[in-house]
Formats: sequence, structure tokens, C-alpha cells
Amino acid sequence: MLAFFQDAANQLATASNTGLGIGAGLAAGLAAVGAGLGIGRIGGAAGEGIARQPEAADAIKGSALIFAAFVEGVALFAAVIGLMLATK
Amino acid sequence: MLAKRLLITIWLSLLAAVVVPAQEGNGEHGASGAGTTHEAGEGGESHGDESGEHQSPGTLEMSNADIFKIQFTHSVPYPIALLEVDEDGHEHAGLFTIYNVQPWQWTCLGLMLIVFFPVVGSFRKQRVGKFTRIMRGFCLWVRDEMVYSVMGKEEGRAFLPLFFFMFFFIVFQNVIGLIPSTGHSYPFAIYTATGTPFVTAPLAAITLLLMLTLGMKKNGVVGFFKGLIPHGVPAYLLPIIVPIEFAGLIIKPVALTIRLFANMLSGHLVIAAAIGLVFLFTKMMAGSALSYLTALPCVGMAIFIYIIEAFVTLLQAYIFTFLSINFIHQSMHQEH
Repeated sequence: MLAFFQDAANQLATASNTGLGIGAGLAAGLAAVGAGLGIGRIGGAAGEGIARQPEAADAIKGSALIFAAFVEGVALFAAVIGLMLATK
Repeated sequence: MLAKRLLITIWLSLLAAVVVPAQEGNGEHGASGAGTTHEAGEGGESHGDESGEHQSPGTLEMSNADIFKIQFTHSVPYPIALLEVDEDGHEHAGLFTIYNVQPWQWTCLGLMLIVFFPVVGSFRKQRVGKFTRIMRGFCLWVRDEMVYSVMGKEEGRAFLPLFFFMFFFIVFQNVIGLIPSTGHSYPFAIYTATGTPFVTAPLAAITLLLMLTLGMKKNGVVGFFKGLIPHGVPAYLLPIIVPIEFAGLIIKPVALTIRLFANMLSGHLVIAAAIGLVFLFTKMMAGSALSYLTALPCVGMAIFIYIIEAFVTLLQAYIFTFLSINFIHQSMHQEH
């Protein structure tokens, strides 16, 4: 197993596009942080709204999904850019 | 009845037109997985003793890059029938090249014919089977919860066929991609057609065209562009607001495109990565007995992501259709 890691480390040292990999990882990771914060707020607010007004649960659920989709869309832009970097 | 037969005939001939050249060309072009491995082996020049032409090398002989290449080629479209010949007689990729995306789109159209003709017929005959009843429920849900709830009954009626088609076409493509499969030719290598921007962009282009044409028809060409800018905006903000609103017109469908395709692609990539870990661990531990144990958490993770994907496929179809409905409705009624 040690030989495997040494192999990987050697490959890393000789690779010219290590920066691209790091950038791609950062793009995906930071986007996940942002989307997590955003979707967390949406979910929290939706839960609170349903707790206050259980009769409006269906409308709140539907719109919460749509709002979450907006946030997720932006995060996926970053993921696509990360994929483009990583496969360059 | 005649229309049904005609449509099914057209669909079958389309499918035959694709599958037959694909099966013939399969031997020459090779399929993605085996082809890539073979080239990688040749490039390295280290595996001189390759006896079988299309024999993939074992996991232990492959480099990490090859392992992941094989994993990910199944998530990326590849041509199955080139169909274009240049002067020297070589086939090359061009405008009419058939990728592995199109057969699955046509399969979905055919499945929709099979599933929804009984639904249409059930309204005439007043007799409903079990499966047809379920699909009727889906149709009613799309009609009442998505189209009518946003557009209203009078206006939404004209849009029903479009949004039925949009929703079920995306659902069928997404769900078909979930069927686990292996193989290199048409019926066995199942592919998620919505996992490429080339499929989702035309769907979003339909939304953009309807936004523009119906918005202009309803409000007039000048009124449509005037209506993009909210009322009561101070004059000194206009230089900022106008470009933002005009860019928003284009960004909306682009976001639709990327949201659907990135969701489907990323789900499949994550499953591929989780399964690829099995091979990576096998290589790390040189195929020892312990490496069989590492497969358990890897496959467990893949199944976990798979279950999430099963939810995401339906959710993304809902979101795509619902946002399209909202965008078209907004461009027709621009009250700010």
C-alpha cells in the first residue's frame, strides 16, 4: 500500500497541471459550502413556516423545493466549471 | 387507431435506422470502454503481449487514470454511427453523426406512445386498467398542480400538451438512465440522455422561444421589452437595471439547461466514482483478500447515492417544467 502512495506522490510531483486539480476541488468545495448555507436557511424557514401554519404545508413545500433548486443551480454551475478544469 | 399505428411504425423505423448501422459499426469503431483501454495500452507500449484485440486488461495492470477513464466514459456521450464519409472513404463525425444519446431519446418517445395511448383511449372508452389509472393520476397532477395552479384554467389549457410532453419526456429519460446496465451496444448500454447539454438545451430553447414570442404577442414588441424593467425604478438606477433584466432573459433558459444536465451528470459521476473506488482499492492492496472487504462500503455508498438519484430524477423534471411554466407565464403577464 505504501508503494501505491509513493507512486501517486511521484505522479503528482511530475504532473504539470496540479494547480488545475486544486482549483477544481476548491470550486466544488466552496460551492458546496455556499449551497449548504443557502439550502439550510431555506429548509429552516420552510420548517418554521409549516410549524406556524400547518394548513399551508403544501404550498410552502412546493415553493421551498423551487427556491432550493435555484440555489442548487448556482452550486452546480461551480461543479460544472470544476469538472471542466479537472478534465482539461 | 390509424394515428397510433402510423406513429408506432415511424418510431420503429427510426429506431431501426439507428440500431442497424450501430451494430454493424460496432466491430470497427469499438465501443467506448474497450476502445479507450486498448488505445491507452498501445500508447504506453508496455503491454506488448496483448493477445485479444478487444480484451480489456485486468484491474491490476491498469493505471489509476485508465480505471477512472473507463468509469467515466459511460457518463459521456460517444458516437455510435458516424454516417458521414469523406472523399477517401473514411467515416468521420459530422452534423448527422448519431451519438448514443439519440436512440435513448427515441426509445423514450416510443415508451411514451405505449404508455399514454391507453390513457387517451380510456377517456373515450370509459374503461381504465390499473396502470392506465396511475398514469392518469400523474397527468391530472401535472395539470392541476403545475399548469393550472400557475396559469389558470382558461390560459393553461392551451399549454397542457406542451408541458405534459416536457414533463414526461424528461421523466422517462431520467428514469431510464437509472437502470443499471453493462454493454457497448444499443439495447444494453443504457444512457441518460438528459445528462448532456445537447439534449437539455433544445428543451430550454423551446421555453426561451415561447417566452419571447408569446410575450411579444401579448404585450407588443416594444411593450415586452418595456415590461422587463420594473415600474417605479429611479432614473439613476436604469443603467444597472436594464442590462441585468436583459441578461436575465437569456440566463433563465441557460440556468434551466445547466441545472438539469448537471444534476443528472453529477449523480451518475458520483455513482461511477463510488464504484470506481472498488477497483482503486483492489489495485492499492494488490488484489489481497482484504480488498474484497473494501467493496462493501463502496457499493453501499453507491446504492445510497442511487436512492437519492431516484428522487432527484423526478424532482428535476418537476423543477424544469414548473420553472418553464413560471417563466412563460411571467413574460406574458408582466405586472411588476
